[in-house]
Amino acid sequence: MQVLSTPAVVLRAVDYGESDRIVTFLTRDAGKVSGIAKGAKRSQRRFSGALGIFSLVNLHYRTRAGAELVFLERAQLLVPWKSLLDSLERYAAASHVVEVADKMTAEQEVGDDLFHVVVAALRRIDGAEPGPTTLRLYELATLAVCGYRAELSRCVRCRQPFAAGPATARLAPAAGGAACGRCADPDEAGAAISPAALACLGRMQALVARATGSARRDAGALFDAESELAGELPRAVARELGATLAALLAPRVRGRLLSAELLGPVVGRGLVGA
Amino acid sequence: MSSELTPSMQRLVEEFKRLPGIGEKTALRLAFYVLRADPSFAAHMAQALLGVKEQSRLCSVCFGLTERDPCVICADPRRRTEEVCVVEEPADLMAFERAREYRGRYHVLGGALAPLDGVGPDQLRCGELVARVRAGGIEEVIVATNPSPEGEATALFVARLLKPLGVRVTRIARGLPMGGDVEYTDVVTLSKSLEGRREM
Ligand SMILES: [Zn+2]
Ligand SMILES: [Zn+2]
Repeated sequence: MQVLSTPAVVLRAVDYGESDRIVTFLTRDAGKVSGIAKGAKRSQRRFSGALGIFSLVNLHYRTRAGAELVFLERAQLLVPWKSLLDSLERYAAASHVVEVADKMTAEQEVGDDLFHVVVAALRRIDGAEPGPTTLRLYELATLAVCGYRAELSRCVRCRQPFAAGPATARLAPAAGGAACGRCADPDEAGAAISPAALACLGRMQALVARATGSARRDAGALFDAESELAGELPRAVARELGATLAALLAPRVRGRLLSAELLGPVVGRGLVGA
Repeated sequence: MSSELTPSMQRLVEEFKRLPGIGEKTALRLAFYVLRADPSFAAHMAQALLGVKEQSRLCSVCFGLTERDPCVICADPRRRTEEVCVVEEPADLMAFERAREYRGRYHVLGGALAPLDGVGPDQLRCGELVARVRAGGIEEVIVATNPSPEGEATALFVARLLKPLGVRVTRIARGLPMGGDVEYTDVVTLSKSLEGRREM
């Protein structure tokens, strides 16, 4: 069988038996792919340090008829992360990035947009300590490229813009956005969103649209304006944004988001989300 | 495949399959080996399995594997009490002991931070480590978790917990393995080995 090659990010990896490793990648060209690396622990030549979580690699693999796992031929680090493990905050943020990407997608069926967004987010976290909007931008972008763009600039139901003044908008996660006071379903009991948080979400959505929209795909631009966003962000709003995105993600991911749950208390809920 | 096995063989196959890295085929091969082997083999195997659960336990001080509590290392007055080496698993402790270099004591965390596998701070024996340091007498904590992302994150977490207590926290060096090959060594290891270079 022919060997396929693609850039890929390691989402998950577990040791298997004496010397093998089972690794799940988000690839640029073939979506999410899981494979077995035979002799991974012994073969420096084939996998030289390239099978740890977060690794950005050039992956060479063969598919096997009827087999769930592809056969991993070799992998070379494309960009070694320099500072991803310099702080617990960076580790927690990077874990959240790969976990969301993994749990929002099924095997294979995912385009290259998500790959670019994930790489851009890891590059951002490798470059500097994550700020209060870093992961929020990533989450909004991930929702958008997976087909669940959150509607936050107007009511997700009646399409009317939100009235100015005190908080009238409520979260409607199942509907994929926020609803106005008239349309909010009392059974849904979504949290109210403050005007400050709503305004910030609107600005972030504009950045996401610019970075992932079909006209100009440049996921790297996603974090360019981050300093302007975060500069004016009070702590309470940062926490509210974290809780809002966590609620919007919940219906789209498989299971719980464990990085936020387990590392949130250590690095701060405002960073990884509630 | 195993639908025509006898119920007792079926049961053995199911038990073998619960071992890590053992699939249906290997489990079947092992079960047939047991079936064909001398009856004393199965008896010894069963006794060994039960024995390990009855006699082996974790040391209440360092959480290393032992049949006595505290373990021989924690009970040895010649081992330095000022140094504690933090490792992920009992097997890592045994690896250090084989090197016969280290004369301090240990603390076994019972794993490494791996949130995606459900391992957070509460799943590791960090509170016990803090309590040991608080109790006094420890001057240096050497963090010897694996040089993997999970091990590095665990080291960062341990340092964050212990530094406020005024204890010295050090991390083991990273470099090329003996028998390794510079050409095939990953760039991260290469740059870390440069960072950790020393005068000759
Ligand atoms: Zn409405
Ligand atoms: Zn002990």
